[in-house]
Amino acid sequence: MQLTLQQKKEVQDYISESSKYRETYSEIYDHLLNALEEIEEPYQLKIVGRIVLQDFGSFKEIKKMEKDSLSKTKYRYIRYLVTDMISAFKFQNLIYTLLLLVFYASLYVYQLGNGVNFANLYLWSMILGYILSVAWLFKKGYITLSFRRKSSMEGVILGWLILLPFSFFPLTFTAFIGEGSMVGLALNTRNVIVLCLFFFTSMYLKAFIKLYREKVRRLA
Amino acid sequence: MTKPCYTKLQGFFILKLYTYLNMAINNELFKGTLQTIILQLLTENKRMYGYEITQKVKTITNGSLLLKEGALYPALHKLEAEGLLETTTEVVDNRLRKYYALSQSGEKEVVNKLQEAKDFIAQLQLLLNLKPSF
Repeated sequence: MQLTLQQKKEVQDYISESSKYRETYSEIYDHLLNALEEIEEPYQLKIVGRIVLQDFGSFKEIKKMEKDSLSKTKYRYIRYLVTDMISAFKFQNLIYTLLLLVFYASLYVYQLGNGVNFANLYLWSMILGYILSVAWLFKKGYITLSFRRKSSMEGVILGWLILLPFSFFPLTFTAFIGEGSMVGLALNTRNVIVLCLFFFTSMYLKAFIKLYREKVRRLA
Repeated sequence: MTKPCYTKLQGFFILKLYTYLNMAINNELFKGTLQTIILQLLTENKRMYGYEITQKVKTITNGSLLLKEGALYPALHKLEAEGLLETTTEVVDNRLRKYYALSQSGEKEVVNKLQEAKDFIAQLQLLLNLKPSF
């Protein structure tokens, strides 16, 4: 059967509650329309229900499948980030890593003679990074809401991944870096910790940008 | 012999049970080989979408084997997560369609998976032939 626009809208409404994310919704919708197109009987909404029951089991099953897919995609991206960060120490990628190390090492040497405290620099760069990430996520969320679209699974995962390095910030700051921190450390040690955290955050962000450019597919 | 008479509610539960059993049997049969089947189909057909895969299995086996979507999509997503499949999305008839294709590592893996399946079938045949006939 060929469906009219009105009938397609009915199918869309019917499955709107079946999934949380855009990717799952599109795949289910395409599947249902393909299945309906091959059926000879005249269109009835209960046929859609029958296909869902026969092919997927129930909406609950679809949501279970979606949850599973979300966690698999999340771990795929984490694996990608970790592999990329490790590969930064391999010979062919060593130049960038060495440049970064030289930069942070020169900051360390500079602070030795001047008694500079990097705690404030750490605090403000983390706050700035956090604000920028939240603004980017807000923009993405606003677009989703204005077009009344379901949120994207990849968008949610990317949001989680971009905020991940900043989530360690309150703990590291109050425990080791800030003035009057829980663990009393010498200024030099605190600065080393800050520079190490900066180094790994830079590596992480570089890997994240690469992931975003290479792996993330944007739905049309 | 009188035909059993079911109420609507009983009919609904029977349909549910039938669907569940059908799904369970198919899942059991496909469990170990589903990934191999998908990878092999994608070797023969450059790229495919979910519904197309189910129909292809149905056509090849003359409808004897029904690949349930409840098993297919999680398997596709797992293969994608493992990096064996790559996906692209296209707009077809005003709707988004997700195509699955073999990645470079998927192309390598399909050879291993096929060999594993062949070995398993050979072992199974051996085992079944050893079974006494009643």
